[in-house]
Amino acid sequence: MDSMFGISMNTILIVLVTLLAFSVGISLLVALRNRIIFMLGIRNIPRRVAQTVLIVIGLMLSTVIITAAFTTGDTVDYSITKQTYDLLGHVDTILDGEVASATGASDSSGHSISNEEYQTFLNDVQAAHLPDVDGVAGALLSPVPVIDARTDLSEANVMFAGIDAEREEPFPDIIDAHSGAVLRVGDLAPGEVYLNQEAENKLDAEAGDTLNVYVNGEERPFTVKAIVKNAGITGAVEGQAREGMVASLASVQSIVGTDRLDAILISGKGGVRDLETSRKVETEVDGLIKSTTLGLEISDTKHGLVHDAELISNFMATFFLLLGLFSIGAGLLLIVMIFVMLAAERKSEMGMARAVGTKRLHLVEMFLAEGTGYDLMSALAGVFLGVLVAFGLTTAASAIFSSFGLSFTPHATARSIAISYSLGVVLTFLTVAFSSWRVSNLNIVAAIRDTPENLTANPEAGTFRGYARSLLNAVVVLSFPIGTMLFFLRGSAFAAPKGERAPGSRCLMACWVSRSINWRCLSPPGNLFPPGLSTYRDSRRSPWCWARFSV
Amino acid sequence: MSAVFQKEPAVVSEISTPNRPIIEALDVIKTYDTGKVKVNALRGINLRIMPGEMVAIMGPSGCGKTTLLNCLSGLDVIDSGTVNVEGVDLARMSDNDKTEHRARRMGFIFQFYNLLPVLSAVENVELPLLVAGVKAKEARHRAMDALTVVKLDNWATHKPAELSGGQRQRVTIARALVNTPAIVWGDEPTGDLDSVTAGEIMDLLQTLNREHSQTFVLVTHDHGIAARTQRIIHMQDGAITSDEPVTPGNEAKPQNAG
Repeated sequence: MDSMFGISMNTILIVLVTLLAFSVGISLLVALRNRIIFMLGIRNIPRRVAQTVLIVIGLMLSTVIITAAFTTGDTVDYSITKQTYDLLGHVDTILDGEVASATGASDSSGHSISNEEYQTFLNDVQAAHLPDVDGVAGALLSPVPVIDARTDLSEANVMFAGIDAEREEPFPDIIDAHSGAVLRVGDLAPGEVYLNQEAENKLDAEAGDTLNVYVNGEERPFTVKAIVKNAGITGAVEGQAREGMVASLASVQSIVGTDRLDAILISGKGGVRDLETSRKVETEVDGLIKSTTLGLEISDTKHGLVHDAELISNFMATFFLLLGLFSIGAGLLLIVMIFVMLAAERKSEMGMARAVGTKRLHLVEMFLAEGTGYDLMSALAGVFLGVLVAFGLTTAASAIFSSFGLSFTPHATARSIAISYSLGVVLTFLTVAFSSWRVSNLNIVAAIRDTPENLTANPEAGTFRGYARSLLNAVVVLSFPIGTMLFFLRGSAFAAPKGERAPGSRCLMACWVSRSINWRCLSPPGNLFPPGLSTYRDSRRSPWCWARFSV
Repeated sequence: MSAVFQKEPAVVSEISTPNRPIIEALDVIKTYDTGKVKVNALRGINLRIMPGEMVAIMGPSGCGKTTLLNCLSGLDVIDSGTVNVEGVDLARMSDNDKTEHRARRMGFIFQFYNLLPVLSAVENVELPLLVAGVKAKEARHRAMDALTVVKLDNWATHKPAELSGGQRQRVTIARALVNTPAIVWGDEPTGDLDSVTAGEIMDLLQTLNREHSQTFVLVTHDHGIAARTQRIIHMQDGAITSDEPVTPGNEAKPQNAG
């Protein structure tokens, strides 16, 4: 996760750590200024161990929810981003010919780039000397039914990928699943393929097996030369159906009976996770294709997909935070209650302390010192438990959605943990400060005697004015969580890039929810991207998308 | 007597002189209003206490003697009238001013000790000094001296829970006296002690009053304790019914049960 509510996570981290330091600093200042008051607070912590444990548990509720939300966001971000990197490998930009299709250049089979257009583009790239592009290769993807002759297991939809063998060098993403060695389709003999791990699992296949592939009603036997890792280039292009195998482009073209391609893959000079180079490649390629009449367009970019992954994770974290907002509010009220009860328990001590010269501020400082002690402990426990909760949730979600090709790898970044801890400490500290100020206001005599405060009768009790005031108080109290939620809802809309905001940004939340639900069902087959992301990318192109997703 | 108390024997402030009362109450009225019941706790109290006096306030339960002590010491607020302490009207002081004044010029001894359980004896004693801004080293020194006066210097590091009732009350006395206050307020200071220990405590208070001219105002039910003071004020239903010096003939004669 890189941002939340449109604010950079680094900025949030810096602000919260500063506030954390400020909170702890106040307690340290109390310790330096008035050691006896600090000790008075701190020594109350181990006074009753069972009570302390209960207080820590009560205080950590908000931190648990905050940490769980951020960790869930991290997990989603990490899982989708990892999936994106794993599937794209060294591919930074993908071109297709959908515009060409609109102009009638595409053939009836849907292959949108002809060999001539491909060759022309290759020549253009060579002539343009694009500084950040280090490789271009054509690709063809064709779903085919396959039967393993040895195991007799079949798979109806295995993506048969063809990669230009003469230009595969910059795409070292065909990796032997056992040895880790980089393999080349150029080394395959006629009739040989590399089978990816997903297909290996489904077919129970192994190297040396014969696969019968059915294309245009004909059976074509292929021999599995090696099992390779799942990657887009090895046919693992669909979230739900990642089974794939790969051979040379010419070989697949001849089997499928076409001379066209589905996509042109472009690699940048950076590594797999070099998003900066990916951006530069997009800019350079975009400039090139706009200067030609080939009808190619950028279908997807690595940095765009990673950005989308971050948007989704931001949404997830925001979603969980919003869901947890009332619980966080309840947690903060619980803190107030805990301190009110602590104060009630020590009422006569506080009264005596006031009688012998302790000011109200001293009592606040005493509770702050004690509260900070609880706070630091509870936030630590809350972060630990929050991470566990998030890991449990995502593991359960992974198990539930595994049949849809979704898998989540539990992941928490140090930044999110630091933010969660700081936010937990700061929120609790502010609540403790408020509670301390509140409970320090006492009648000294009543406190010493431990008798109820000498409350005078409320003259407004039972009158219309009294009821009106009660109603106003209730509105004020309720306006905090509701107002915060509305603020977050509106703020979350701005997490989307400016260009993508719908006119009336509040509908974006609904769009995100719809979109996230519709990841799989709206994802068109044959895309070389993780599920849903392609849909999201497509949606950015069409002005109709907002209506489609908002409905 | 400890060096600390000998160093600062002049507890009478520059404001209050032997000719002017250190405590003066004029038409003090205090009413508790719970909404359903109004209790007139103090009904027009007029009282003058001179510096260095040791005064006992007696009366039956509920007569308002503790309320009077609380109002005179500034722990509680009055509804009308005036309370001047060391020439300053309490009503004109802010809460912080009153607190600071208590920390610097007053000491309190209560029946149930009310020591802070998480602090050791010496820390309890030094608390009023520290919150009044006295440096830690000096505060510790004076607190130890105060504990020596009450013969508890060997128990300085013990927590209240480790002390007997008499020892706790001695710590309370040490705390009340550590800032060499002009006025010491005692609400049943020996109420929770056996007669022998109570006698020892009164010996101590009398010695301090005699040697340092500190003003003592003690609320008590105990005629024996009252008889050891210089003046006894009797109260009934929120009003003063008698105010007489203690002489060999009239030592704390009971006016009403209680």
